[in-house]
Amino acid sequence: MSRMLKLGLFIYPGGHHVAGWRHASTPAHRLGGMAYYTEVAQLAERGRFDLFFVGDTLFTREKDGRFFGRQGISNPDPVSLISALSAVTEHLGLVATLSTTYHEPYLIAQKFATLDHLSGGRAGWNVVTTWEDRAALNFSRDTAMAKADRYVRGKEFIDACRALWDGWGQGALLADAAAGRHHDPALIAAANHVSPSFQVRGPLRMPRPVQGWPVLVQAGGSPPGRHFAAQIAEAIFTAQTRIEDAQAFRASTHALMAEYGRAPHEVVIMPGLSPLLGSTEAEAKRLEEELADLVHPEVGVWMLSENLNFPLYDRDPDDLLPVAEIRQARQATASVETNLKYAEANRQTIAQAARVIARSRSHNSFVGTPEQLADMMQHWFESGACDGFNMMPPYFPEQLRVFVEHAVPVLQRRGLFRREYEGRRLRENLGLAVPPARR
Amino acid sequence: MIANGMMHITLSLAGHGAHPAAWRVSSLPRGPGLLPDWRPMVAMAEAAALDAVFFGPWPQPPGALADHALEVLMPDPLPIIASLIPRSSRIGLGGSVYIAHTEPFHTARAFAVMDNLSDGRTALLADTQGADQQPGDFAHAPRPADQAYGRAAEYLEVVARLWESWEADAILADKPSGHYADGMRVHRIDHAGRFFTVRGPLTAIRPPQGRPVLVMRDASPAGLELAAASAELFLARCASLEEARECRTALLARAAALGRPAGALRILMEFMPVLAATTHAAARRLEELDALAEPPEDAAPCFLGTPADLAQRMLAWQAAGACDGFNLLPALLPNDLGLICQGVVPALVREGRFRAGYTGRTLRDHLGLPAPPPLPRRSAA
Repeated sequence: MSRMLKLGLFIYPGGHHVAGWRHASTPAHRLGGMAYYTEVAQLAERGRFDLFFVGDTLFTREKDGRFFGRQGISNPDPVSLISALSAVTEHLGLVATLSTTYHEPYLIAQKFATLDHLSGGRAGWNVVTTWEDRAALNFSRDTAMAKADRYVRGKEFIDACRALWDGWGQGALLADAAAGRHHDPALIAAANHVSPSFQVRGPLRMPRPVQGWPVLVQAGGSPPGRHFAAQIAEAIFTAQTRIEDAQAFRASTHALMAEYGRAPHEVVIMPGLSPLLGSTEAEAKRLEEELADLVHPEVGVWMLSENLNFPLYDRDPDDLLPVAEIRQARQATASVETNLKYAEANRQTIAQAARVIARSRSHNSFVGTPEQLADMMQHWFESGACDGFNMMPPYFPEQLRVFVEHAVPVLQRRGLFRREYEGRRLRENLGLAVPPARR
Repeated sequence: MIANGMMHITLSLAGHGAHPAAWRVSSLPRGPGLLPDWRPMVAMAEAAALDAVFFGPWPQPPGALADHALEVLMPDPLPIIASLIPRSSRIGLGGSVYIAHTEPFHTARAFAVMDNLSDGRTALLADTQGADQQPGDFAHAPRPADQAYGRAAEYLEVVARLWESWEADAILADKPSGHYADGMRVHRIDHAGRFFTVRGPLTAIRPPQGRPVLVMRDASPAGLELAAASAELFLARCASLEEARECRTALLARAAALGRPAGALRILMEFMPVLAATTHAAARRLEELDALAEPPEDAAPCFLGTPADLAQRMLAWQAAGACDGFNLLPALLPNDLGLICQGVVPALVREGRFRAGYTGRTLRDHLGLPAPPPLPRRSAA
């Protein structure tokens, strides 16, 4: 069978465009409720998406020390949301973001094992290490751990979880009522994980997950983040706005993986993509203007300041973005650096940079017809820039519906995307092997 | 007032039933993975208009895995109750959390989100004991009691403050003006205590219940003190009516002494019912189960008899002021749950002591528990 595109749906309440919640079609009052998420997830399943992806937010975004009320609400607790959605979907993979910095491995291994059994093998974990100091303030710390330390802890956290998941051999749960043998103690072993960050004895009181392990997803773009991904990631979510950069990212990811003894087919690379679709190009462009007009002037500069972690409120919006000052003020993350380089190369003013970030949170954005989008996706896919995309509709559920009803059929007709799910497990649909049991 | 009022009935579900031999004889099917499918059990409980169903805690001795005959699975209760939200519409859903090894911010957020997704039906079971049975699995060794319970009290205060960090009317969703929320009604908590420093606000909007219902069951002296101070439901195990009445009187007196208003704390007695059409048949059922596996010493007291007998026991205990209701642990699923819902509950409804159907929407409505008064705000923002 020829290689097929993989699609994730990245949910964001209200939409990935900062003013998406203000669009006439968005049910702004219902963004915290079950009906809204059920509608979006079932729409994604109807579109044969591989997975539903929920990000994480461990601090509120503020302005002048207060919650900034012109933004929509942040993501719900990812594990709670995807657990609930497991009951209203059958094939859709369910990926929750969870930090290795503010949890303990035993309970997280137990949590994902539970979820993988409840969903029949559809769980995925987007592993993050949480860089923001503001998150640390909610967890009895003053600052985030240093980057290198976070990734060391992250790797040890994953090692501990894998040891716990692998503690139960395949078939260790016998459930032999007649013989009175519930499980086979000979097939269950302690994890006995010992590392500088953790000591975890185990075993879990849960059988090995249906998929062996939940699918491990990673999104860090810095050098330590990329080494971490090369070691553990089975799917990578990345911000890439230029095809050449995406090709280089994919090639260098495969090269890094080889250093750790892993092959390219062991990972699925999915750049973010935020399409704004219209039935004609002119209609799509009109929608883009309509959304841009919904961005309150205060919001763009606020969002840019938040993204760059650098206050720009007192500046003239028509000044050039002070790239050198920002670089000097703090060590930029990979995604911030990408934005700074782009702003530098294009001599962007603060107002221009704000407009770009309001559009797609610095991910790749597209405006046009479903056919044109399919062309773009096909080109990226066939030129080795990606294995699929994590789709970021600018507003929900309307733009997702347009994508599912008009872009997915085009991709299917071209033989680029599945018409039916390969199976019920996320690993089957992504084409990823089940990690072999250790006993 | 309470002695003649309506009683409350909740369930604790575990594996294939509360009796350790339940898995040997249960017809409960598996869900999509290797866990039992509890969805039909919750539907049955909801059809009988029970107040709530609880998952966890599921304490196990450290060496339990070595015994191949024990149903040793210990899933995380939170994904389980979240997965039941779209499969139910009225019944309360409670899940236990290890207080000793989690962060209050995560717990507050998970329950705020589940309470929103369920339109106000969640309860937090604060488990202050279970983790002690898993030495070696966590970063911290079990803490001495004064520290453990001091930390638990502070943890629960932080959770409550985070739930209240968004005022009830903070969400505007006003498209014309572009204000999604009113920033003046979202507050930091600026908590700085002995065990936790938490800035807030929570990254989740206010739970519809204000605060999800707080449940405890730790009957150690320090556990009872914590429950008197902040629990809204306390699940108790007492061998006799007299013991139950003493337990309830003492706990309510302590709660009153701590300044809590009457009616802020409800006490439910736990039984593991083994039911059948005749007492003789029920006794035979228990013998058969016990022959396969003996319940541990700290198990909930077994009630043996007909559904009518159990209804009589429940009426008598409640009328005598021994409790405000019951948390039942069906010995075998679905059998004992079916008899509870189709035999015991209708008898109580006929006596006018249990609702014939839900009249409220939230778990607090079912329990008749107003949300506790808001904690005073500390910070300007």
